[in-house]
Amino acid sequence: MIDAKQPSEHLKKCLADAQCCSVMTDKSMEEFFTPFVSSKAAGGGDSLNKNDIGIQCDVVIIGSGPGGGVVAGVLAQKGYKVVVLDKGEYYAPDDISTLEGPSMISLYENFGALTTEDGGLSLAAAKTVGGGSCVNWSVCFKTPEHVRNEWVHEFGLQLFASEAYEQAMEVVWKRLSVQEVTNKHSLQNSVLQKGCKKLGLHIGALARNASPDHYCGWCSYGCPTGDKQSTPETWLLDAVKTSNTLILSNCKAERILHCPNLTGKKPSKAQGVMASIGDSKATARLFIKANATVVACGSLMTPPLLLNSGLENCNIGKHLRLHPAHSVWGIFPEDSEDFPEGTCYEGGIMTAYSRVSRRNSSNYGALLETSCFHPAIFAAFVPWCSGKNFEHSSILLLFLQFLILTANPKIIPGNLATILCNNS
Amino acid sequence: MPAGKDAKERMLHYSRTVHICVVTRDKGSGKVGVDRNQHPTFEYSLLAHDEDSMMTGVDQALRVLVAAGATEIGTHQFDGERFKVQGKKRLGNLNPWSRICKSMIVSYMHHSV
Repeated sequence: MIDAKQPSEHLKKCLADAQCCSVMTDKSMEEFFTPFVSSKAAGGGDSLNKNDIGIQCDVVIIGSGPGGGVVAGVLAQKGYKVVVLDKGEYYAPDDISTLEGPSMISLYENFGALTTEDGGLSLAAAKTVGGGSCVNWSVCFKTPEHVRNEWVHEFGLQLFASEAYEQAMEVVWKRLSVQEVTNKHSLQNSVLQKGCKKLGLHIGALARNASPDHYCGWCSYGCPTGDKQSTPETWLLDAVKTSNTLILSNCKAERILHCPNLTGKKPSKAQGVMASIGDSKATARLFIKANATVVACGSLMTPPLLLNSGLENCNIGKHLRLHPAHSVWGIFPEDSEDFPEGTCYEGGIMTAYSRVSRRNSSNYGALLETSCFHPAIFAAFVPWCSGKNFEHSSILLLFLQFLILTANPKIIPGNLATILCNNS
Repeated sequence: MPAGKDAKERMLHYSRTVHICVVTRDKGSGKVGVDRNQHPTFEYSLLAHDEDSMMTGVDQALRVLVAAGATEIGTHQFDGERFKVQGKKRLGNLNPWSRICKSMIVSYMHHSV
């Protein structure tokens, strides 16, 4: 792991010492760079400058989250020389403060304040080595049968009906030590279970990539104990152990470098990546020449990279599914014996869920899960009003519309390429 | 009630405020693009079908909270609407509500629970 925060001689030396890549000579860099000079894809200047660095490897992977991390782990173990780029910083369990403000700023895209254009949804997307797997709530769902069927029958994606896909999910399940037992449920999950049982509604256990006695509640701000099996604790660790892998943090991929593909079926072929080192006033670019380029920046950040690289497939950026979510709340004063113990901020964040009975027969419905609000987020999200305002607005009760939605970051093992920030 | 007091009062209940999240599998979809500075942009609007899923879920989530014994319930809707659950002694601890509100709450609860 190398922190590529500033271009320096030290960085060059580290890259030269790394076993998994070779630093290009000035001449070979010139040769590599020349085809892109005239194209928009090279960006930021027509000639190489003296701080630019060029390296060469088998596979370059952009993003170290649940998608890129797995690819890195698997390929490095097969003997390929892998370079992983991540624009975020690496935090070891000991570095995790779990403080709300600093964690939002250091671990999330746009300091945790990413929204859609009209402000209708707030999007929580991680920006750190390990990506979403570091800040998600450790819930794992296998791709459900009805979703796989839909992909097979409506889109002709036979892969999802195959034995290989089933096996791939098992591999992920095993490496992340996913299990369904929760020794002690939090206040919120106890309430969800109690309410659903009383009403005779469905209630299920959520599988988690954490141990049965994981009772923390700070998953959103990284895992201070390392009990949550995030990518840096699993696949990236496997990758680094082989010494075939180099992870560059604080290194932002700017363009995928691609050339016309004269021999193959597809019109162009990726040759590698151009990345920037340091902040927006970066004085250096890193050119990575690779036989294969993997883009694993999540559903939010992958399309911008493809578009900025000059790729033109009409589907890039379309079909963004966010699993919009809305929270409701209830107060359970402490003074009653029938109420579950605990506080809303402690304990496994999501350990139980309920399927909402659908009014229609479609497979697109909703789930009830518990949510996690630490004081600052709670203060920001919980609406408040004056008495006068309330009396006025309650007249509009029947016209209630729900406008505030939150995207939910969640790992869906197996569905590695399309992992969201989430929620969910 | 003055707005500042309302906000503080809600914060006082923080540690025992249980949230249930309604997560929908959306049939509709949004769009990712880049602006002229090549920064990402996200567009999304909720499809009527998904709004219906969400409303069904919100309705069910509120019922679950009431069944589990919540004394007061609400949503994150921007206007701060909240409802006291009737027939519980502990309601005395919370702030008084006008008659209109109470009757509306009763009708709402009857309607949905």
